[in-house]
Amino acid sequence: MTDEHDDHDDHDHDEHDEHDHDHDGHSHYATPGSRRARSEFELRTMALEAALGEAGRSSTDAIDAFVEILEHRFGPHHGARVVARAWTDPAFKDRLLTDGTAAIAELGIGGAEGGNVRVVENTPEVHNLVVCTLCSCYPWPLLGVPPIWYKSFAYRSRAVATPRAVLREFGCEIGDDVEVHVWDSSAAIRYLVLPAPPDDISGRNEDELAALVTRNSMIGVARLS
Amino acid sequence: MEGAHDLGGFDGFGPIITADADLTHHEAWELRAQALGIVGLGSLRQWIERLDPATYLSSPYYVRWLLAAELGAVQRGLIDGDDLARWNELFAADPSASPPKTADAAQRARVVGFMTREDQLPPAAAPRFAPGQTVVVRRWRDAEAHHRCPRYVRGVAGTIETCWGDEAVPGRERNLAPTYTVAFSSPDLWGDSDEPPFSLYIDLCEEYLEAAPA
Repeated sequence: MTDEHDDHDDHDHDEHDEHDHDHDGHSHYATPGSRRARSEFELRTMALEAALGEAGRSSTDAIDAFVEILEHRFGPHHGARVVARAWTDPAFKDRLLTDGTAAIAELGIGGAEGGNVRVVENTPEVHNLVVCTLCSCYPWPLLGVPPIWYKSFAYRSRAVATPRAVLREFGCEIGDDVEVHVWDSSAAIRYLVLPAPPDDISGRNEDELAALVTRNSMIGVARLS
Repeated sequence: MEGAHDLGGFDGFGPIITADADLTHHEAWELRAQALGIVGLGSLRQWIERLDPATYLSSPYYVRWLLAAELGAVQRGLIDGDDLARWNELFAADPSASPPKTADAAQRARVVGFMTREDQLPPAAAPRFAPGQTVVVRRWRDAEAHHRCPRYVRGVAGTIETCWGDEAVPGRERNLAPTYTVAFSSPDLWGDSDEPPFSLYIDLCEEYLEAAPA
């Protein structure tokens, strides 16, 4: 990490979804002077990294590797590819709904938090919503780092009790004639929602379809149709 | 642990912040704190759950990872508390300092292996329950070990939907037991509601379940 990299990062992090990653993909600490003072917690993270490194418990290159894979190799672009394939290939969709882990492996997708994947399909009759009430369990290889709202107390507490009210907060109205299925993924299984496609997808190729798929639709708090 | 992390059904946390829906974190150190917890300690859930409730509820998500990683690393003896204090003093005093870069090919390979491998549950050797069977979540508590049985399902009857396979029982890592997806009906969980009934599915270890009385 160098000053040169951090200088590109000189903007308000609360307003944008760009992060402190440099251009070879590793996230590192802020460089003082380039942007802001380090927070107490950033300093403490640095101290813990130094102490664990000194004790031989975690090397900085191992930490780099973890962050690089989680933040950049995993991500919702993979989930979107899976969804687009399912929309265009009924046999793949059948395999995906039967054995999610094996089906995503066909597309070369897998990894930590992706060994027991279940895909649940949104239909005119059923709307699925995924939450982790105990922590923040999430299908990393398919969706990457969970969004802040998914990790919030407000979402974790109410999604299992008043899911329609929660969906309404996302602007997602679910008719009373649609069944709501809430999946609390607090153990070993990781869930991906297969959203219903937009009304007219004819004439679009798989890449164009994948571009229509949002992260929120794959967690179940948004619809695309 | 019966901690503040068990949030299902709580109220009072205010509206969900749905603007910036794609924002995953604010600063780079946050993912490094998570990485330190997982790489340095293995699973960190048990340590996050051990944060006292006031701290848990007043700390942002990645601060909880940091606090839990500090707690676990010192309590497990992976690092010495005095060494951690020394590094904290050093970084507080010298704003240009950074953690020394260390390279360890074996550790890096272990992390890459962990992150790119799927740990699939093996088929259940001897499941007690079958799909369609009615079960009741035991009423119990465990103040010591990590577990994955939220309070809001305890004592409630549900239906076995899927048997997933054998999983190391959390908190007793050597025992394998089946994990099931269990379906509940919202009125059984919450009683009357303004919302139409819905189905709640949650994955539960066999030892949290008992057969429903005939």
